[in-house]
Amino acid sequence: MRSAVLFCRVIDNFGDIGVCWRLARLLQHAYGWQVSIWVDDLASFARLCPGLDVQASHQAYESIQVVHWCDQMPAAEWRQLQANLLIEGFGCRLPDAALERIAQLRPHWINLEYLSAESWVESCHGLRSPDAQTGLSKYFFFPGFSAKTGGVLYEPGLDAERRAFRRQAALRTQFVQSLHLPLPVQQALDDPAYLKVLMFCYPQSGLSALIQAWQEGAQELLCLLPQGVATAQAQAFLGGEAQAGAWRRQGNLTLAILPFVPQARFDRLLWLADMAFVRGEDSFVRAQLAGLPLVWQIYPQEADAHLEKLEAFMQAYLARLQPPAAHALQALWQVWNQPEHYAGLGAAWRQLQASLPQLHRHALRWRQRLRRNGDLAGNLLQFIQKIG
Amino acid sequence: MKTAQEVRVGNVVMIDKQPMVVIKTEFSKSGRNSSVCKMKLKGLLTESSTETVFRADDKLETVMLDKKDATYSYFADPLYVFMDADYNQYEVEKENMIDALNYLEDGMAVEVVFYNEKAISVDLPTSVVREIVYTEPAVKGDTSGKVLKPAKIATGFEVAVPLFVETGDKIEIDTRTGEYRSRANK
Repeated sequence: MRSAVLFCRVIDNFGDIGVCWRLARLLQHAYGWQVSIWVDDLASFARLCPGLDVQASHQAYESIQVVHWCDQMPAAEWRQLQANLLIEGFGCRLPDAALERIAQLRPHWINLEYLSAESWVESCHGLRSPDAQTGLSKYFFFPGFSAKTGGVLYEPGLDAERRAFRRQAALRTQFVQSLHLPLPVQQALDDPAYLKVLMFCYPQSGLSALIQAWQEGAQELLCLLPQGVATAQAQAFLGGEAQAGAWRRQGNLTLAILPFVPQARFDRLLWLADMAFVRGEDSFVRAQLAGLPLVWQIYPQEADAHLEKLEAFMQAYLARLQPPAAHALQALWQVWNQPEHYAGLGAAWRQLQASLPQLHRHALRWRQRLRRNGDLAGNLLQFIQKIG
Repeated sequence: MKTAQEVRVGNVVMIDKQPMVVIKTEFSKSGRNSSVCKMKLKGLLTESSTETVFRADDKLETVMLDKKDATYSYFADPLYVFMDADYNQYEVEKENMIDALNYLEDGMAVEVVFYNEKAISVDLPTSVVREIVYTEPAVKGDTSGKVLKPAKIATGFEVAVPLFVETGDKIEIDTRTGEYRSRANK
């Protein structure tokens, strides 16, 4: 039996566990591997996977073994570890007891790295990393947007599922009803006059400036905001708690708070929307796979390193997009990622709005391009075959 | 042991139980404030080259090497020849000279680095003074040193220098970074 183990340390938010869990599900369900995932923070994991027992040290979830991992686990626990393929999520450090066991098992050992469009990624993708402690070779595997990288994670049935959701009203209605939204919000969702925007951003964002612009805008706009996202800005607009089901209409803006949905249902939120504001890594990729015009809030790093990564992605993404749409999108991305420029968000939004049809066509072409690079999980399995 | 980010070009690290000299390092910021270090390595015994990648805080076993003071004597392709105070000659392969070639001049004092009694590379002083052989004419008025222009030294190596630096000036260069430090007295 082909068995894989993923290790994930949750640093903050849901980015690390989101990517690792998606990879675990793909390996188990799409590629037939027996997968276990070792996670150090079950509370964050449970937000993505409701029903997960945060007290259990071992449990099965969607047929995947979930182990609550801590560095103080007894050595006997590590001796139970079995794997042909071992994946460290984002260079998470493994304790000595784990390394001793890995030295015995001699699995294919992968360090799954962060997603970036920077050119150096291609030159590092797939390179060997000799491990001094075990004497084994680890390999760095980089997600990315070109054929010289590992690609991005997407499920084989994703496109068919999206098409069915868009075509079959019953599926859509069933999902919308499961969100328990007030009737006026449900009506706005069905009304083509509304521009539907999914907003998934970090707590520090320029949402307040956009709220102002959207109220005063010429078009009716429905902003769908998952609970727990940009809570302070949402409450300032709502005048009350930003709980699921809360909503307010002011000017041409209707803002509604959605329940925080599990990862498996996040795509459906995207499929309800005409465009998306996304953040980090997983939601960023999912918006691209949904074929939506998107605005990316990148994870902020020291010394503004994230701005170089943003620029690298912009160059790749905008390469085949003509002005003025390219300029409009670039301007909004830059302002959205630099708090000192939030005052310019309203103007950047108005500039972008006129280009939305062109941006939508471009997003569909970009999705095709991503698909041509293959799915990251499949690429990873091909890679381990190649290295033997 | 050193972390990957502490390892410098010219250092020797043990990889797969083989001593390998670091030919090139490239650091890149990865996600969440971590860094990735790509290294080009050359086997000291096998002379095979390989490219590897590490996280910045990965630990590497480094090899302590013997060093001797010497001065540069001459080049006999593909070997650079150095001589110590007792007139012993040591040959270092061109490929292992790496950044030292940017600053090398006749009689230059260096430390020759040995592994198992074989000369494998040279260590330079942390700074050297070199004359500018060409740079665009000086611009009056800007003395802040913040705006830089390229300047060539005799080896052909280009250093970014402040606008006020002129052809014929002597400058101090940090050999670890290849950066201008200051204008030396004429």
